[in-house]
Amino acid sequence: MMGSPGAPAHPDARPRWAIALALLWLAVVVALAASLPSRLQKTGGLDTSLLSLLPESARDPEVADAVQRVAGASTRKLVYLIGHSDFEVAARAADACKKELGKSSQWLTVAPPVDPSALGSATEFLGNARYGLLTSGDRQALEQGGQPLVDQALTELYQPFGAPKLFELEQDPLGLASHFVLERAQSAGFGIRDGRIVIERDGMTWIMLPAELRSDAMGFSAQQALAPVLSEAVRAARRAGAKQVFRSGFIFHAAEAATHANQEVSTIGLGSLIGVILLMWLPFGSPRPVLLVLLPVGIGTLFAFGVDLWMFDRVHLLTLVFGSSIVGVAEDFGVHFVCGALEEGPFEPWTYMRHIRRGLALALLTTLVGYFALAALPFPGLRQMGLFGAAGLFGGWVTAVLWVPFLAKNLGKGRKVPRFVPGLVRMEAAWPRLSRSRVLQGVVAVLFGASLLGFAKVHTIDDVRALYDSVPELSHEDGEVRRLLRLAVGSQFFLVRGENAEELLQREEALTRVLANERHSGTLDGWQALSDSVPSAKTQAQTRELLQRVVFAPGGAAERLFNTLEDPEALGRARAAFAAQTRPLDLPAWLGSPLSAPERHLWLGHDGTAESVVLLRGVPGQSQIERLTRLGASVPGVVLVDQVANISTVLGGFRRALSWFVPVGYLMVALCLSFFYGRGAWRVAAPAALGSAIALGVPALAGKPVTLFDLLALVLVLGIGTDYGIFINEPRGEGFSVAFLSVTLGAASTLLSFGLLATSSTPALANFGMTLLIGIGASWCLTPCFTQIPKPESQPAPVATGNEIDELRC
Amino acid sequence: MRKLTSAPAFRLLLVALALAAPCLTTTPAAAEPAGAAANDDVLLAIKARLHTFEALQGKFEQEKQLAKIKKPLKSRGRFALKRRQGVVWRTEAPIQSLLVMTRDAVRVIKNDKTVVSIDISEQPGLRLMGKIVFAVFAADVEEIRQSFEIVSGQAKAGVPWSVSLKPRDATVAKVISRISLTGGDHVETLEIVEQNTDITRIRFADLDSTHPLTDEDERLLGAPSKK
Repeated sequence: MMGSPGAPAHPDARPRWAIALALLWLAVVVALAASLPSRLQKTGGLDTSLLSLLPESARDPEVADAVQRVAGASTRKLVYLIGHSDFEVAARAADACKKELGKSSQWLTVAPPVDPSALGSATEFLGNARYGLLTSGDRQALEQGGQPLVDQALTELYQPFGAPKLFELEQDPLGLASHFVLERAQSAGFGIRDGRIVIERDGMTWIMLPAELRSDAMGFSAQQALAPVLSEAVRAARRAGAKQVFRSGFIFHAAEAATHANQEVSTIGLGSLIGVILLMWLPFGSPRPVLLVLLPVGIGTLFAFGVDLWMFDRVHLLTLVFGSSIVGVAEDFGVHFVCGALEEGPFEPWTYMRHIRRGLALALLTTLVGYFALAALPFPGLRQMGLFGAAGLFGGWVTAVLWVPFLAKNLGKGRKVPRFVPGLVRMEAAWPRLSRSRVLQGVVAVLFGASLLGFAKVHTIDDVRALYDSVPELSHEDGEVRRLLRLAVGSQFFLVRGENAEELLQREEALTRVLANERHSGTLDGWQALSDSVPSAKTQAQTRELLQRVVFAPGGAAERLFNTLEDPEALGRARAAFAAQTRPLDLPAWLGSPLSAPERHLWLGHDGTAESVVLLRGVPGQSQIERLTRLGASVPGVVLVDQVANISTVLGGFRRALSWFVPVGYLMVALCLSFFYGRGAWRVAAPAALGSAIALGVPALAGKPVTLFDLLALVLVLGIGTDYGIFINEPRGEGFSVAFLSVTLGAASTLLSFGLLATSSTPALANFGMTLLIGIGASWCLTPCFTQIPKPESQPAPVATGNEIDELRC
Repeated sequence: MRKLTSAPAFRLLLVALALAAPCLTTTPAAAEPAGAAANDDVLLAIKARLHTFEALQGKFEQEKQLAKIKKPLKSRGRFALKRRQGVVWRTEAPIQSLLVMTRDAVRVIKNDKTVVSIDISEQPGLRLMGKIVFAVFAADVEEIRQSFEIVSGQAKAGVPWSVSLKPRDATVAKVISRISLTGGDHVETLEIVEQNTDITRIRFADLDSTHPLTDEDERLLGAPSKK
């Protein structure tokens, strides 16, 4: 009887519009697919900047723009430190590394060697402005009369050696300019040897190789192509004898994250594939159902990508990642259809499709309602994601309805119905119903209560550092590079703006005066600021005035020094030199000199307003950040930018938006369902809603914090769980129902694919997977509990059919 | 990043070099030109006359003639040197000061407190000089010959030996034009001529290479540099 080749009682009537519509859809898909490469090229590839996910209106556009530029510039920078106890070996290794990097010159430029002769003019360059340059320590000493400086200068004159001096005694009697330059040099912490930037520390010589990616090398494909070159450069340096090689730069993290994500995605992909094959291939004894299930997902993803690309200027990488998982919901369409081939009687694709079309349409409609709500949120990222999901599901649905029946001809032929099918049917029949089982009522009530309790004590985490732990090795290398270079950490910095360079420098000075107090109180390790190297003209004039008053005036420090040396003529020459020298150091000249190379990145440029950043050394804690934010706000034109917090703000904003979206989404789904199911709508919507509540509330009760990624998982549970409710509650056909079978197969394959994310080593993905696992699992378990009790006369039918199948198999 | 041409620090190096002269070993290289070979012979002869030591201490008198200052600056004091570790330089008159140079740092100490500390280990320029000094302490003749050229010298029996050195390194040569040493069992005088015509003359006396250093000096040379 089942699967017998006997002629069908009534022919499988294919609607007249079927071929035309299927061809039309084919045309749409082909046209969209053909337009993708050029469109992708035109929009400059995928967007990977986290800041572009932020709602623009939520930020001061000028600040955001400056932050974007700093972030953009800093993400393009990378540095290698190549170390060996012997300079020559380190130099050879650095050359090998550089040569390797040179092979990718289309994507990155390695900084050229430093010209030693250019640096030779350094003392001359600074010498011209020397009477305006003063360390804060010397300033204090001078304000108190300067006698200790006279004593120190005398001591040094009598000693055979001491602190290095840059200028002649008459040009810099107290060594003030020397102190200034030496302090700057010490704060830089590295020197030049053979045109190489060298750091010597702990018995090791490090050679620094800075490089910068070209602006078009930030795309995903360029990063993937660069990754092997970047790691080959490390190996080349090691082969050439380097004892240690440290890397630092955004690109390394990006490359590593891409590789890592690739590995995890392929694990999940493999699991998913094995799942689908096990679940779809084996029961049908044919690979065709696998194709029928995956086709709507594939076409849907393609369609969604195309729609997003045309709707938005740039599609974000995260949109693609999460959007694709949302489109995974479309798998249910295929599963639901294919399971029809296990129905009693010959399988007639068009007839069956007509039979389930309402269910599929409802499933689509409810999910669309949900995802359009997502698209209405004010976050560009969520909007893209919502549209991606909605378009993908629509594309998947159209594919399922228009194409799949064509491809499903004779699907049921020669099938062997596996043993678990009748088993499942019996299982569904025996499933405890909420209306009959007191125990179940109790269990549901307890779970619901526990979830509510969980909601009450829920705490959230948006800190990006807690959600994404980078590769420990890279983090370690980052830390070493920062330690060796004494580099300020770039994720938290002050942004300073002024009408012109002078106002900018004055504001920086006002800021660093405040920061100096913080350093004394231990809140801060230090900072890196342009105005430390180039004081404002105002400060330089004040310094000159101070020197005039305390050092060169009659009875001043210079007089006391030269009197001790018994040489009044030398005093006269020193005073003459001071009087003759009036030119202050200015920012443009300094930026143009090779001296500024290590600090030039602090200058953002003069475009209407002059802008610079003051970088902080060390990683301040949260309370310090808050304090620094207040301190920054107390100086005009200064604002503290915290990129880690910015990213956390993005995540937090998403999380808050989604935590509104999920309940609202369920409400809209319920409204939509009540239109079709009337008072029975709650039976359809409740399992998924309860599953979501449990997935979020119970772990929260156990103390697990809620993150954005848990809520994203709930968005999927909303889509998938509601589908289960719809499929099971749809009016059943005459034969035994395969609805529960399709829901079970669908749930099993979802759990095998996304549920595997729970094993991810990235906390964000693990959260996502775990919540999905619980949510989908609970929805699946609960869906039959909420169905209406089958009428007594219809109950024996499935069992009988099951027996029949068994008999057939014998 | 800034290039530091540091005359005083170089002087330190040279004083240390001079005092450590007994530890020089001279292995003439076959490929050296005749003049160099002759100079190596002088070094060998001087080396043969010098007493080796682990620790050396004594008095010094220093006269510094600054190019632009008429009167020379005269000072005296005591020093203590320990091979491979560093030197303690105590000026006692006309002013009092205490300087310590170790492998890592040059420190000025006042009232038992470090008032100036230059971390050599983080300054490649100074680090290079320090490395040379300590290479000399380790009797690394290659390092010395890499750093200096022997201009002239004699080591005739019966009279004090003398030798004159010229820095090879262009950066060092920009500051130091010549250093001259004379002595017998130990280095007795040292003269440093700088490019700006500053001249520093140091005469050593009461040299003692048999007794260990005082605990105080050991502590100064052993103590890690405080910032």
